[in-house]
Amino acid sequence: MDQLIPLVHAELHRMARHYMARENPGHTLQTSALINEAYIRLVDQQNIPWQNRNHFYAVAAQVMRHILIDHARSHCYAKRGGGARKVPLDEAAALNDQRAEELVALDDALKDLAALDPRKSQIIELRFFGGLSIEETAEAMKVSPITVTREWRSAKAWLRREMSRESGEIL
Amino acid sequence: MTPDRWQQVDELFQAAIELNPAKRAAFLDTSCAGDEELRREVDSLITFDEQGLSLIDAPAFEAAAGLLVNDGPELQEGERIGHYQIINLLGAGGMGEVYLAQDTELRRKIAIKLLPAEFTKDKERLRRFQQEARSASALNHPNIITIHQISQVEGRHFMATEFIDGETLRQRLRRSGLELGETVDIAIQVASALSAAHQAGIVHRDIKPENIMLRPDGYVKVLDFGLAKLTEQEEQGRTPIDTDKIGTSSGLVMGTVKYMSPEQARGLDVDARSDIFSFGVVLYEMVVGLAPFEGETTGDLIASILKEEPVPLTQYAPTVRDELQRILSRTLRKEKKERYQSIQDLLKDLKDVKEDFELESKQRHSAQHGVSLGAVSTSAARSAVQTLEAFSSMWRFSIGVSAWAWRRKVLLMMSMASLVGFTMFLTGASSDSSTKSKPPIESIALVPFENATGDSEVDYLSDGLTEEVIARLSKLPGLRVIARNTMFKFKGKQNHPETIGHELGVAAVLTGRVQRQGDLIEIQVDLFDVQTGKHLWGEEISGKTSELTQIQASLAARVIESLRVKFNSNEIKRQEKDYSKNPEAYQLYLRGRYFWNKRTVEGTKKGIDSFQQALKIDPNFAPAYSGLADCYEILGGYSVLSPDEAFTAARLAATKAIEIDESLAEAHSSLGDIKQTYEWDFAGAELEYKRAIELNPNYANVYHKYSGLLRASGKHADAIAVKKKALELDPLSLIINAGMANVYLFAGLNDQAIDQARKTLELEPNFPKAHEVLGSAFMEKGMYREAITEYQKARDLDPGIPDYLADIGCAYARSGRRHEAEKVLDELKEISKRQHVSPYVFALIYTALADKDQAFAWLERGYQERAPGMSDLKSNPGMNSLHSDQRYVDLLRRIGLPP
Repeated sequence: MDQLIPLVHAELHRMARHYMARENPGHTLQTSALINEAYIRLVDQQNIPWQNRNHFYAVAAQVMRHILIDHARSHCYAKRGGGARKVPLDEAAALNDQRAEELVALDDALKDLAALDPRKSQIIELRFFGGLSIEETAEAMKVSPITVTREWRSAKAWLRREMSRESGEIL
Repeated sequence: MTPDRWQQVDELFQAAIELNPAKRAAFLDTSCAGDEELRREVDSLITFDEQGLSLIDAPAFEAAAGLLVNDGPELQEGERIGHYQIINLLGAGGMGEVYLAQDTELRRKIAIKLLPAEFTKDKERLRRFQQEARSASALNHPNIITIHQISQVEGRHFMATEFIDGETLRQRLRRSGLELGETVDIAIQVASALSAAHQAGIVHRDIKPENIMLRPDGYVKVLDFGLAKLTEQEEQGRTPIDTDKIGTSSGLVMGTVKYMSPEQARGLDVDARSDIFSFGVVLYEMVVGLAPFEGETTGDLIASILKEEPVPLTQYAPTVRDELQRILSRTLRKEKKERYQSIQDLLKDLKDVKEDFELESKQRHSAQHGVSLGAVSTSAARSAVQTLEAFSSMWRFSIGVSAWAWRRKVLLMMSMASLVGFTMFLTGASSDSSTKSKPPIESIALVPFENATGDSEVDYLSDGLTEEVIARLSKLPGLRVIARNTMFKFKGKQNHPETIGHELGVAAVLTGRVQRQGDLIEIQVDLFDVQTGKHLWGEEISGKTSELTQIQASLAARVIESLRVKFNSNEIKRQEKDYSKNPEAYQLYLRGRYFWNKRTVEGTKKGIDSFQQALKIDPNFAPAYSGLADCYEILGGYSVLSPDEAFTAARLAATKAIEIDESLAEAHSSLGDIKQTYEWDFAGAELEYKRAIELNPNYANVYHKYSGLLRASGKHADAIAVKKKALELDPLSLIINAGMANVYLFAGLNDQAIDQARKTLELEPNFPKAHEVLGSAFMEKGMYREAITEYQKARDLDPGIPDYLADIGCAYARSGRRHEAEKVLDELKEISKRQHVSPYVFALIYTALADKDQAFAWLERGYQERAPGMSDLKSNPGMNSLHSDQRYVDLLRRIGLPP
């Protein structure tokens, strides 16, 4: 799966840029639409070992998580005076300070959750970072939508608790 | 927790939340069956479940998709486009990204320019671009870039060209100014490229420094022929530039406007003569270092192109200057009919300039010619006021004035800083909680704030803020602040704060980044501990550009707080005092100080000019008077003007400065120098210096001067200590570094003097004063040949100062070359018919010739006219052989120096 990440990243990136060049300024990109199109393009390429559509979604969600968390981390770093990476203002606007810090905390907590309960962590990843609906997530995970709903809820409670511990205060 | 245990907790949790809250307790009591820890886990999950996690309820993924767009270059390393494999990104601009790539078929390195999609949508335009680019490339001219292929793969249009391993003219100009010879070389090659293109009927349309590449071997290549066709308006019905549109797009489009011909800016038809105009703009920028037309907005810029005349050149020797001036005037005519009608004619003239220039630089090396100050020294009226007037009319240095015109507008806007709607706010986490326990910071260096807007034209914002904070902090007692002059040498360098801190020997370093969005500016400042490398404090301050004054004040106040030093309210008030309400005057003042620091005749004249301009804008701007005084002191001190003329003017200016603002350290320092050098009121001078130090303990120049006073009275150890203090505050100041060498020299520490002078020359090999003191140290060691070499360098660098010629004379005399020494004396006498030459320097040569009677005769004249060197009579090693003579003792007494 790790070899697929750069491939999907490049594809998503390329498509995002194409969209933006074609669309009017101010148009926001729909992540799920983007992922769907990328899937259609990539399954055509014979030499990529896709197990199935769900496999692709899992990779795409991971890529989105990387992108978002990377940006959130560098945003926090720049705010703390690291100053090594320049964060353009428009990006800073998309990602305000508090949100960036929360995202970083979420990512950390999610890593702990993956060790404890990989299924729950993946559900969060697919839904939150991959933009999948409950039904799509259920299909991708091969579980029932009810299970997704229940797992989602307890994962949330767990993450909430972890993140409060991390920051030492009630969010 | 183990996964198994967690599963247990999770099951209970899921079951419990399905239940009516009232029944949960009973359910959990039974299920947990006395396992208290299990019970606590489930309970806590229920609590957090009720709180919810809004962060993930609203999906973050939409933001992620947006980030993808700006996420790095379009092509990745190793990716293929056609038969080219990408190696890395070389650069990106308004006309697309440029990559270095490997041509896998022909196995060579090439450059790939990816054309932005928005420009390739129009098929007709694309076709015209391709046609023109191909025909230019087909010219096969050494100064035109070769195009290998123009093609598209999967809807991405690109151009494969010859790879030029070099830098753009823009990058070159940013790095440093160009030598005139270099400028003419580049200009000739660009003109050759244009000449070939024009003959083939191709107009470039977008000549600018970004489109000119310089190879290390000296070859110049012009890029992007025809590319302008992609962005051009339709052939028919072209309209003048839509300024709104340009204003909102990238600075690159803005950059292009700067080089547009008037007809281009007006949307009219362009022909080869439009390229000639744009070429003129580039040439002007290469010569002057600044573009001829400037504007705060695109509209202003276009107005400037259409109406304003560029400021004429003044800084070169007459033959070259006049010729270049003539060429520039003919290329930059508003009316295309009045310009050069063909680039060939222009090329021919440029080649003539090249010849003239080469001829002249040869002559410059063989001949020595003084700068004549003509009428001023002989016939100018005695009164200081008249002297001032004479200077202002004679030394009207217009160069650079218009370059500041654009800034002027912006600065004026800033100065209007209305209090209306003052919405400045402070954000960001400030100092960590343990602040109180930490010791205060006693020394600090402010690295010039980084201009992170990507637009070098707003450097004035980041620079201005840095200057202001340095100026304010400097006035605080007990805090050592490294001088602006030194700190600005770090501008734009990517040095690590710790490295800078160690180099300058300070406890803390403050860095800052300035961002601007619309009329909102945002400054992020960070304070670092140099010893531990720790980040001590950081804060973000933002506000509208129209509120700059308030932002500056807040910034300074917050920085002062972060230093944890207790200052009393008077001290705080003193730093709050503004230099000038008028930022334009302040900029001119800084410019004046910059020229003054050069310590050359030319620099000093430009300094006077800048200070006078500042005073025209703000007649009550005390620091500018102080600067004026310091400049006249230099002209007197280097015996360029008679002491009478120079010091009367200086005193008038210094007194005026104190009258306006008694609390101005600079003014007391200026007055101290007059009292010391001209009035020989040594006690009075000391009081002025001490007052200045009290007012601004971080003003390096006053320690520099005070050290001179101590040296003159023979207190060499004190002089060295005080000069070191000056050097600590302004470690990269050339004059203070050279001054350090000089105090060593006067103290008889010749080896230290040589080391120190060499260190100074490492900072700036062309600083005449450092060559002089190095020469003098060699002379004291009996190394006459080396001494003469150094003196000659000083003389070549600043031929307007007779002192350097006199130095050479002394060296001849001391080395027994009597005849040559006498020739120097004759030459000096000849010069003294045209300008003032200090009797003191004649005395020095006669002393070196062991002609005591002549020496004392000249010293007596020096005494009568209060020649500046006279106050150094006691300590100057050149006078050592006179010490035993009664006439010498008598002179010291009359001057008021200790025996």
